[in-house]
Amino acid sequence: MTQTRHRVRVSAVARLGPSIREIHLEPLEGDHLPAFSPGSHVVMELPLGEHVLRNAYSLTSSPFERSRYAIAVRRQPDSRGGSRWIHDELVPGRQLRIEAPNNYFPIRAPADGAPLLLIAGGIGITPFMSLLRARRPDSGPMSLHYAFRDRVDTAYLAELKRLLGSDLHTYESTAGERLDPASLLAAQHLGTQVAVCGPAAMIEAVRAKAAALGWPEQRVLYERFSAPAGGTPFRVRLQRSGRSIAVSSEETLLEALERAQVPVRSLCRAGVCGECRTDLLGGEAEHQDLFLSDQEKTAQCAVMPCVSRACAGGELLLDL
Amino acid sequence: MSRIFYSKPSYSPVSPQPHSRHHLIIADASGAARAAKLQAACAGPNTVLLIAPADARLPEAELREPRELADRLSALIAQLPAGTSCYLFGRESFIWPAAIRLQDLGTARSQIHVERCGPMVRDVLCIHCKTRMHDVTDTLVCCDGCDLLLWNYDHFSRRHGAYMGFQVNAEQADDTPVAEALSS
Repeated sequence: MTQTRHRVRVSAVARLGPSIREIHLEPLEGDHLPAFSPGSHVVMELPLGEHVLRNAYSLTSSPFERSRYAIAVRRQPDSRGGSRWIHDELVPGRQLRIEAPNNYFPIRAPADGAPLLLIAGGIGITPFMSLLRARRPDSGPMSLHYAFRDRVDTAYLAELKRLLGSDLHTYESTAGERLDPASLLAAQHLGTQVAVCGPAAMIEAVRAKAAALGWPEQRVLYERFSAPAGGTPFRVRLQRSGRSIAVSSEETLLEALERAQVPVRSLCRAGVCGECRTDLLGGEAEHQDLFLSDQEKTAQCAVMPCVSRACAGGELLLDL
Repeated sequence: MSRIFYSKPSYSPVSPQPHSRHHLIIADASGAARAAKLQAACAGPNTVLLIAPADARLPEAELREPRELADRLSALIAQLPAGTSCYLFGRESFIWPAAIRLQDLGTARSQIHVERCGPMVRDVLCIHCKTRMHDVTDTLVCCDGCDLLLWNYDHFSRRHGAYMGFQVNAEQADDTPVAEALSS
């Protein structure tokens, strides 16, 4: 599946902290960009030298604002170049292509008036911004628990304080403050929806505590925040075409397939949506996705090329 | 009868859910016995809401009138922990609307466990005049509102807690099947 592409122009680059930038995008054609719901992301094409990197970014602007989008990007020290390019090269006036928004993290209360508990770790705050910036006085109870390393290099703190008042709770780890998922979840009432976005360890902690406290699975919504990381180089062989392709340490398996012009359907590029699922005919994959079941992962019968790679020193054989 | 329109719920015995931090047990008069049994099997804190007169088997139950149930549930939801399991015992006309109310308040379907208790009776909604007949025991029922003879059809509305009744002899007034007692 290919998403509709839209041409946009960078209208502003705002500094949210020493290593965080908010990028504003306005449409090149027409007055409006496609509608989206809170928690949506867009895939943006970043022209890095000869190859194009396609990264997903949560929309941080209000869904009621249709004349522009905003995204926020933290400079990643182990970046494959995407965040570095955005921080160092991207200036207002630059034209880019994005895909229409998709939402794999639809944040909403399960019922009118039911409480919404938001938990963010670091730059994992981004998907919550579109919800909070569109919050109306009559929307149900909502609280945000925001954990970060240090207050100086943390996005949106002042704005969140204004938007949420006493419903904002912050945890600065350099000041010794810790967010304890167990006590936080234990204090919630029946009907509460929790949504968590942050590092994998934070999400795992919240999910495990929620299960232990008898929470139903569907009341725990999560989105892992991590840039699609590279890793050890490996080779992939394609059964149908007989081709063999090298996947470098700087790219994902999906990107390597796209570079070699092997058609693979993809959407989220984050191991969530299942669109790029490919049958695995040989080799052992190091599964990084949240889509395949544990049985499928153990059976090594399929792989999600957008996030997963071969186990160290291995080679994958795909049904392509 | 075609499976396509078959929406009659099926039930299996409800048991206490592990990992629950609280058990909310709700019953009408016909579900009191099962509620008492479940409460005895529950380890840990529980609340019993009895929409019926006092029952010796549930000495600690909170007694409520049917019209109080909806408001009482919204107050309870705001106090009970997120990891609560809800159990509903009684007639279908009671357990399903209560389950819907819990879901409307944000309780997940997977937290709600229902079990039909009591005599084999149904509430029937006349699709012609919207009159509701309570505790119907047979496959045919004469509508209290429009006098039509209704077929007590296996089409169940969980929101209404009632089955759909439609005129059985619409084409030929003298062609009336024999009414039978409901068997399931």
